[in-house]
Amino acid sequence: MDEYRDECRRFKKRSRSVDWISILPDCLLCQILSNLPTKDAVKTSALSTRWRNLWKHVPSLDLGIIDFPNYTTFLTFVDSFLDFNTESCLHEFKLKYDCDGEHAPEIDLLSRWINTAVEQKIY
Amino acid sequence: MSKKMIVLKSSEGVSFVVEEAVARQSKIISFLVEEFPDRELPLTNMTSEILRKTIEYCKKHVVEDDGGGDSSSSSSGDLKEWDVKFVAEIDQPRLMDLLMAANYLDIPSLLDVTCQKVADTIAACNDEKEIRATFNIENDFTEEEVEAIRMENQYPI
Repeated sequence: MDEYRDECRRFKKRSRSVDWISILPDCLLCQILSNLPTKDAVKTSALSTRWRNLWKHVPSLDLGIIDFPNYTTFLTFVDSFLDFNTESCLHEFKLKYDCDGEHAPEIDLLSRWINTAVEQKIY
Repeated sequence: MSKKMIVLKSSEGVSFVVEEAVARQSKIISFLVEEFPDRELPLTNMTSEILRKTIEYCKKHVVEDDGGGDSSSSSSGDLKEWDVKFVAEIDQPRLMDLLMAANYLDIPSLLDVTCQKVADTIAACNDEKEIRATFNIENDFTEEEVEAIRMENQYPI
């Protein structure tokens, strides 16, 4: 971690306090975000107003219930993501949860998500 | 048989003579070569420095691709390693320029490797504060707005 922090400091020093990443157009920032696990892409929404909704345009969602503090936040998150994406080009939708667990999503909830995915032609 | 060469011209007017097979790593150049054979191609939004870096990448990749049918998995592994080293040695402003050049010239593998480098840098940060510090991104949110976003997105942990 120390090594990484040193590298960050050097990276920052070399760039002389200019926000170089912001010269990239939104489509390239989205491409960068699509190379990140969804949970890391989501973090970028708190960077600045420009970044606030960028992650939602990434064409894939890959989340597990394990990434969330509890079951309710998992459900709310997936629902709001799919709501936002009704007109976007989501290509990949991957969710992981424990079927035998205490909080396995109910069948009607799963079919709603699958229907949404089919409507949006997600593969 | 001598290899066909083409001339690429940077924004500063510097000419680079490149083997056609190397330049054709770019889909845009490949198209332009077909349309305008024997013409010098001006790349007015690319500096000499970035064009030189882009050519270096294309040269390495065309050599490896030319390995022919016997290209083994170890050589593709070596190439991956070379790619990682190639982007690791570039500072932040040049990395962004190279990423834009890869997009502009349509060189998918260079775009992938530069995007991955930026993504890895973001992923290595613990939180948004560290990402901002690394890339000098100005926080134009109030504390309350940041909190609101956190609630709205119901952050994965």
